[in-house]
Amino acid sequence: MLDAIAHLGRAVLNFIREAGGLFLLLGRILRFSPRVFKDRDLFFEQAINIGYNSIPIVIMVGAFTGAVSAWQTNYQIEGYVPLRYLGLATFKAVVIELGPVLTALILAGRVGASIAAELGTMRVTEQIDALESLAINSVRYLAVPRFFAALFMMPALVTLADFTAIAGAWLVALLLLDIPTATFFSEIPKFFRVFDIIAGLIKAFVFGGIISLVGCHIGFRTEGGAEGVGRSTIRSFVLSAVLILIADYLLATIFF
Amino acid sequence: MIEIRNLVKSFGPQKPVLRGVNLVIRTGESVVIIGRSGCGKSVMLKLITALMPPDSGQVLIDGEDLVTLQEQDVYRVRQKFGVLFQSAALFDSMTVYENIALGLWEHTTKSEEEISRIVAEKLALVDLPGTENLKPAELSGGMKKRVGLARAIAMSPEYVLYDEPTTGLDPINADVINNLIIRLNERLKVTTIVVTHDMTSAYKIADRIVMLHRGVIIFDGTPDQVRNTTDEVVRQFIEGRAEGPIKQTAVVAANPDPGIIRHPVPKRVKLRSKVMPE
Ligand SMILES: Nc1ncnc2c1ncn2[C@@H]1O[C@H](COP(=O)(O)OP(=O)(O)OP(=O)(O)O)[C@@H](O)[C@H]1O
Ligand SMILES: [Mg+2]
Repeated sequence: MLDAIAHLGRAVLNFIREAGGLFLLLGRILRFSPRVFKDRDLFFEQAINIGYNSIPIVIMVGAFTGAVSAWQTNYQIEGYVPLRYLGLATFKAVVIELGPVLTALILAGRVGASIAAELGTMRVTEQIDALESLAINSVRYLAVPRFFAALFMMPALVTLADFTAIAGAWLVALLLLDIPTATFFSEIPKFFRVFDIIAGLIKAFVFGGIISLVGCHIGFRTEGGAEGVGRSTIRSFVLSAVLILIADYLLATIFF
Repeated sequence: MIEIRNLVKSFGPQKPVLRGVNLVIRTGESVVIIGRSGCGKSVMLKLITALMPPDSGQVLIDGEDLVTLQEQDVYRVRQKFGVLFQSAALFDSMTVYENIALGLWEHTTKSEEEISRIVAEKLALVDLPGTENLKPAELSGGMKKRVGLARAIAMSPEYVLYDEPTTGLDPINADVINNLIIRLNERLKVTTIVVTHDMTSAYKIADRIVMLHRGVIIFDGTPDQVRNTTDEVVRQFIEGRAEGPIKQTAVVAANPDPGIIRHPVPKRVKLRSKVMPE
């Protein structure tokens, strides 16, 4: 019992220390933010890496998210809510919650873990020391472009995921649930709130920041060779996933 | 001038590495640091360039203490340095050209033609002309070392630190590098610190040879003084004998010194790591 408490205590302390490290890094990144314009080549390189190269997986995630949520919503509301509300329910769920969160969780794996692995490898092979020895600030050169690229690419990717999700839901409704297109979309304009879209995009923005910040932080702190890089990859994914879920909850309580 | 005063560094309480190093390297001098594997030579080079913070002590570069300088001043001072890492530490996402050009892109306003001329010139110096477009993964160990050297001298630094420049090179290339180090030192007045196990190269390069042993400098003298020393520890090292005052255990556990219990490592003084990413 005491052991369990001690264990929990250590875990909490670790988490707090990690969070402190994240804020420190965030501060240093923000201090260099004016340099993004001067270092725009680095920024675009990362924007392509993080944004463009994620498009296929984001389309996959979007399409299946939409398809599943249409199917499940149909199951849940069948019999007591008219089916013309199916499109609306799916639309809101996707835009507010499913699009941002599922995209972020997938990208925590695809983008965050790869940032941690890349910077971790650079750390253990002394490439970060080499960069610093050339009087180049490693936070500015490595973390800043990755952070801002993820920050700005994430809303774009979530928008893409939202569109494909609604397309997926519409196809399921049309082909499998026999709901005509006009019925599926009929209620959406009546209950459409711009704020829902904005809230979803703000979430995306925050999640993008979390993914890249955690990836950079864990990557920089890597030690212990190839094994350490492997550990960093996992830790980066787990920590960003946890923080994404916590942030999602906090943002939901603020917005709605 | 580089002045190292009472430099102490340990990795946890069980692992003291440097236990009060004092060393002055005058401008234009060429100093070779020798010592057993794991005795802290590479760590010392990293402390000299503020790549890691010491536990206590001072590193003065032309009178400025790296340990207490503001971050932007640390970067300014670092521009005086060129560092060849033991592992070469080439940026493996970049070509040889980009590796060498990076510092010039970041810190100068030179045109691309001028930069490519400098890169070609440095590559010729390390006997690797025409390798600009290769990636580090396509190079042999010795070639990586030489590209690392070209990168270290690309900005024509005042101080060059070489961590085992000739390890992994064939004897002919090793001599090319020795001659290059000597030439940079003599003609361009580059202050030189070389860490090496290669005594041939040490005798050839050094104005002074210092030996690091159990966390302190135990010998400091000219190559001739080294050859004629009666110090048993130094003799054993330069003659490469397994028997002598240096015991095998010295390798296993960093710097085990029974005295460490009676004379504990000086208490950690307040030091911020301003330069390392967290
Ligand atoms: N980042 C680190 N974390 C923990 N211990 C370290 C670290 N860097 C070095 N050490 C330890 O410090 C000691 C000195 O290491 P260093 O690399 O300076 O040795 P060296 O004299 O350069 O040896 P070699 O001749 O084999 O290169 C070693 O015991 C090493 O394990
Ligand atoms: Mg070494």
